[in-house]
Formats: sequence, C-alpha cells, structure tokens
Amino acid sequence: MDTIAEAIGKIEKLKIETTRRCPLSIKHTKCPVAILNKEFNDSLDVEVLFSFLQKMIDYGCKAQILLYMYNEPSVDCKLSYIIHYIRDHMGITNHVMFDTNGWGLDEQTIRMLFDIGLDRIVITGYTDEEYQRFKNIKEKLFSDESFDRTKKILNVRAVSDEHTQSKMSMVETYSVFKLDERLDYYKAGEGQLCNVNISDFSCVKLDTLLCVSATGEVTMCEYDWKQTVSFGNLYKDSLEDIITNKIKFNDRAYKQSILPDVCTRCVHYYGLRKTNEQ
Amino acid sequence: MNNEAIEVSNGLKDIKIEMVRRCPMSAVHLKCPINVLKKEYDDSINVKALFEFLKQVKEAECKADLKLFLYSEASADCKLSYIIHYIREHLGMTNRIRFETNGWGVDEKTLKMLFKIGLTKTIIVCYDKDTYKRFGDIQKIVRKDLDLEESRLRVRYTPAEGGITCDTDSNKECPGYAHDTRLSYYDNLEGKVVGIDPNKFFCPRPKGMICIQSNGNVVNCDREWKGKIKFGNIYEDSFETILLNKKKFIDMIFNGKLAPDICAKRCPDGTRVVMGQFTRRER
Repeated sequence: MDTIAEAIGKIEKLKIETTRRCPLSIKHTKCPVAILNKEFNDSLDVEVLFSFLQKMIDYGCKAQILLYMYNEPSVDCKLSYIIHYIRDHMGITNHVMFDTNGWGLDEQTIRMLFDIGLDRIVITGYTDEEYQRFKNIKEKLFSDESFDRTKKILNVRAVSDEHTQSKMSMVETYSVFKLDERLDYYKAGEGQLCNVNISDFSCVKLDTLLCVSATGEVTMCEYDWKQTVSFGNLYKDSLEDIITNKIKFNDRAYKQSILPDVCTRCVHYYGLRKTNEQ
Repeated sequence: MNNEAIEVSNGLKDIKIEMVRRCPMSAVHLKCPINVLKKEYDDSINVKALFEFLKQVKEAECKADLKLFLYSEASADCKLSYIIHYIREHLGMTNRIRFETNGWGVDEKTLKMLFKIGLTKTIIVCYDKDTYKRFGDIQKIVRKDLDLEESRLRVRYTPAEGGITCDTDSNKECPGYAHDTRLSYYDNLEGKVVGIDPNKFFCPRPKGMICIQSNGNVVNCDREWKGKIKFGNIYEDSFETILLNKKKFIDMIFNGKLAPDICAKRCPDGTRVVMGQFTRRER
C-alpha cells in the first residue's frame, strides 16, 4: 500500500482524455487525434472516471488534473459537469486545468468554467484573429470587477499554422517547435523496448505523469500517442494493479536502462535525442 | 403575475434556448443561418442570467419544453451538461429538456450521461448514411442499457441538400426539405405587417414558442432567424414583460388579422405555402 501511495504521490500531472474529438482535426491532419478518432469515437465513462479520481485522492494524490490530451475539451459537452462534479460532489481541491485551441470558448463560457471551479485555461490561437480575440477577452474579463479572478489563470498564446513559431501574450517569441513530428515517433521499431544509456535520459514524465485515454487505457505519456505502453484499463483493472504495473515499468527503465522505442525519438527526451542526432 | 401573462405562459409549448452560436458543421453547411449570425455575435449566453430567467419560468408554473438549441450545435457546447444538471438539481424544474443535434459531439457514453443527469429527449439528425448507421447502432445500446422509451432517442437521416429523409424507428421514407431556403426568407421583403385570414394561418409558434438567442434577445420563432420579431431581452426584462409583449403580437395576428410579411409570405409553417418539394403538414 505504501509503495502505491508513494508512486501516486510522485505524480504531478494527471492527463485525462474525456473524448476524442477536435473540430480542427480536419485541418490539422497530422495531429494524432485525426488518426485516433477513426479507431475509437466514444467517450470516457464519467462514472468510471469519478471512481478512479476518488481512489487517487484517497491515496493522497495532489496532481494537477488536466482535462485534455489531443482532443479539444471545449467542445465536449460533458466538460462543465465533470468540473462541477469534481469540485462540488467529490470536494477535490487539486488544480484543474486544460489546454485548448479555443474553438468552443468565448467570454461567457470562460467565465462560467472559472465560476464552477476551473483554475486555469491555456488557449493556443492558430490564427492572428483567434489570438487577438482571446487577448481581448482576457483583458475584458480580468478588468471586470464582478469576475472573481482569485487564483484564476488564463494564458493566451499564438502558434502559426506551420507550428514553427509561437508567442505568449506577454512574451514575444519563446520557442520554435513542430507539433507534427509526433506522427513520426514510431517510424522504426514500433512498440519495441530498447536499451538506452539512462544517464542521457532527462525526461521526468515516467514518475510525474499519468494519462487516461478515452478508451480507459492508463498510459505512460501523451507523446506515446499510440499507447504502446499501457499500465492497465480503468474498465478492467484495479487502481492498485495499474500503479503496480507503472512501478514495475519504471524500475525496468531506471534499473535495467530499458525504455520503449518511442521514448528515444521523443523531443522531450533531450539527452538521447541529442545523442541520436550526433 | 398578471393574468394576461399567465395566459400566454400557459400557452407556451416550447422555450428554445441558443446557448452558443457555434456549430462544427457550419464550415460545410455554408447556407446555414449560423454562418451569418455568428459574425454578428460570437459570445454565449450568460448562464447566471439564463438561470434567473428560468427561475421566473418555474415560478410562473410554465410547462413548456426547454429546447437547448436553435441553430447552434448543442453537443459541441461544453456548458451543456452543467446547464441540464443545474435546471434539474438546483432549479428543480421538471419541464422536459430536449435538444436536436447533428451528432457531432455525442457518442454512446455522452448520451448515457446526459440522460442520467436529466435530459428528456434528443433527436440526432444525421447528414450522411455512415453517421446514420453509427447512431442507429448507438441508439439500440443506449435504449437497452438505460431502458429508455423509444421516443426519447430518435435518429433521423436528412441530407442537407434536401431529398429523401428517414427515421430508424419508422423505416418510412418521406420527402425532406432543403435547409438552405432559410437564408432567402427575407429576400425582397420590406419587413412590414400584411393582412391575413387567421383561419388560414396555421403556425403554432406565435402562441406556442419563444426563442432566447445567445445575446439574450427573446424572439418569436426559430425560422425567423434574424430575430426581427423581438419581445425583450432576458438580461433586461422579466419573463412577465416578455409575455405581455408576446400577447400584443398574438392579438395582432388573431384579432388584428395582421402578420409580419415573413410569416405570411415566406415561412412554410405560416400559411402552408409550398416551398420547393416540401409542404408542411397541418399541425
């Protein structure tokens, strides 16, 4: 039990894919959701989700609850009830947030989501118009005295269509990256485990992240979007079994220097990536 | 509440609510009114003001169905589930809650959840045969698992360009209508009232419906999508004031024998004019 609680205690982010839909997936054909939603077009059962969250909390989980993966949470009609239930019925005080492209958001919707218990929204506008629209909404909302802005965070950033440049509303240009590399992560050796030099491994997600997909699969990381590494399924397995599988997986990674092939291509695995490129 | 207002309230069958002005399919259905409307106003309804308004609806003991859609796609609105929950649990309203959807944002688990938290009925209108088939399968599962009456979950096929429509329950095919005639309702009209024979005016909407737009305006009818016939605004006016304004409109039609030209000359629900292939049934 202590081992389970200890592993759960290390988790800082709990990512939950409540559905597999995004209105922009038609345009962003290289986004994993454009592929994933062809395989599975259902949602996560909210009662199963609530039961899972309750057990995590009972084990002392303090992780942030992130209500998105590749899907667009702002177009999930379950979202508001999920946030309300987590706060008012379950009494969960963990930080609750999501990233969004803003498709389903406007001033009144943002206002309502914050009112019912959401802590943070990160909006990525894919056009200048969208970026400007949300900058205006942010200014209006946070200058309105009737809006309770205590501990509420609204980040607005822009990403160009080519995904090569991004900027935050407060900082001009902060990084250069390509979202669509993700589809190429599996080009060779899909699902294989491989030996790595663990000293090159700088990713902290093994310990600090747990992802729940719309199918109920509990996975290692959102970048392993084909879910080649699964610790179990919420519909079939107990939380204890799922966390035990996670502990075994991490032990193998840290003690035997064995990682899934996908990790060696991930942009977030900076050490190995650099080695490979050399 | 004033007796005249109560009389109008008792006659209401539907209160339609546009929670938002968005639809993921509007990029495909270019002639849907939502493409025009969302350019004018792209915000959502203020839910606190909506709940205050619905509280007055409850106090007036109005039994109208609450229909959570207009041209918007309710299933792609993240506020939907909380609104249904609040109407049931916090306002304690027992009115039927319904919405129509093109199915974009629903699936088996989502439908089950919405029914469990208080949705009464939904009609899924599919625009292609694959979606129709998909929802036909989902319909069977949801009905069985929730022991749902058939009428509470309907699945229809309606091609956007018009043509033959069908329903999973009736298997009967009937002529549909091209949605996109709506955009031309206002062409060559002057926005005046014209004389009518009330005995030949078949539309149930003047007495039976109000529509709340996402900007708070309360208008007569969903077909009159520009909302030129307005009874008030929920951010400013009480339910009673809105009902009394509606009463004047009802009197104008049924006592004054006058109707707006869009109702009398254009709308297929008003005077049973034949539009394209389609003749409205008498209601």
